[in-house]
Amino acid sequence: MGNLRERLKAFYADYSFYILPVMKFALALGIYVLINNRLGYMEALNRLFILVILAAISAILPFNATVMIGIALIVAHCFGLGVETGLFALVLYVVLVLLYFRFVPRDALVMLMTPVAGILHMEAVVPLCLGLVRGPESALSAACGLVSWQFVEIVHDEIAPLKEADAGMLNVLQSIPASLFSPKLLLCVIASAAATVLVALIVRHMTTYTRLRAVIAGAVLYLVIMLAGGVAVGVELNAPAIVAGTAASAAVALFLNMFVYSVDYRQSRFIQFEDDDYYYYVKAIPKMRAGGAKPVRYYDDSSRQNGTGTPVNGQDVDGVDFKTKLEDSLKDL
Amino acid sequence: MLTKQRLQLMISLADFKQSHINTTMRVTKYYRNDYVAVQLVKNFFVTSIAYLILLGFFAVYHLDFLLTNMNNLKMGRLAAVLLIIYLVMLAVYSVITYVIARIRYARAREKAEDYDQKLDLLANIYREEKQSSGNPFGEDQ
Repeated sequence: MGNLRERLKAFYADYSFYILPVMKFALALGIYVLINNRLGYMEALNRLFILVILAAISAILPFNATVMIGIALIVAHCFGLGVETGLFALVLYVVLVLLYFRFVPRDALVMLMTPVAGILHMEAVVPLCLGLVRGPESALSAACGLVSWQFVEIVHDEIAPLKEADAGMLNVLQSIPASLFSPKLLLCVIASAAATVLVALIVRHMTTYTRLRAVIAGAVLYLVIMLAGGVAVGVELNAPAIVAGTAASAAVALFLNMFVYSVDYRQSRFIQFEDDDYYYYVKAIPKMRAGGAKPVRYYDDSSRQNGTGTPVNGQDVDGVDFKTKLEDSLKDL
Repeated sequence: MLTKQRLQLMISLADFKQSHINTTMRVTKYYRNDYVAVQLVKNFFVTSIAYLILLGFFAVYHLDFLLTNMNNLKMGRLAAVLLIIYLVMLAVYSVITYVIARIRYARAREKAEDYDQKLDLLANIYREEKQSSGNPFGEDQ
């Protein structure tokens, strides 16, 4: 597994210029296709060609452009269902951005990833991943993502049938917040926030297998709160689906942790500058350390000198022959 | 003459300029209090817009009640309650904005000072190289 990660790192270091846009394109296309499949009320946008163009635009712009295009897609589909639904969608996302995501723009992708995870029945994956890569404060981002997901679900499950039954605009507009701000949303928010906080707190200890334990603990806590809370509050939940979805979410979070979050993917950097005498074209290529060993860091010098300190990143370097490596490096001098 | 020290310094400066200079300069072109003041002014407008949007939606949601009880509503008391809610919301968001602006300014200032120190070091290296190349004045003549 270590060799596979090293090979992935080396591959990314060499070809990141091409890999990153392709990955952004694939992610954006996947998000837009899932949103279209779930909503799809605006006929003009129900064409793969348009989604491919939008995904191609997202690939060359920053990640928040993907978020903006995705939100515009959701709002457009809501307008396709009805003016009042579209207006509510617009108000909801504008208020979320103005009141929260202007402070943490890097978490804005949660507004799209939570509905996508919900559509795939893996609602727990976003709070688990937020706990792994951010801090406990990201519980708020998870909550905002849940509001977005619940809104998409309500549009699909309740508003669309209402519109088919020719309900009045005011009735539809009044039924949306009543369905949105329900005990189910509160239960999901509490479960997600608790899972995010627990995972983030465990990860901060940074010992061996901490992340594995953090993900499992977070998933178990999410499951317990959802099932027990559902019974306590009287919310109808599909228990087998929640159990299976939470297990799948934990598996996805562990996969992402192993191949994305724990690996230091550094790109080759191209830097260009000049002075009075020369033009400089610099290519910086990240070093690959042999055997996957990282430089070991200790908490403080005294513990390193005594040999009693615990390495910060806990890497086992016993298998590396430093003497041979030193002799090899001296030959180059 | 190309030296390793000069090259590493120039690469470090160029790398920073390529990646962070716009975001850093956007912050450090202000004095700290001016930057925080600008953010608070922006916060005032953004929070007011968000409050008006929420108020408008709240009015539409309770339109039936409002239309039915329009004559019985105590407008003065209602206005006072809405104003208090607005002021509380503005105060909370102003505090959050103030704290975040101070932290952002401090971080950008640190990066800018590091960049300036490296620029000064590079200028000294250039000066020394020109002096050691036989030009005591260190200037092109």
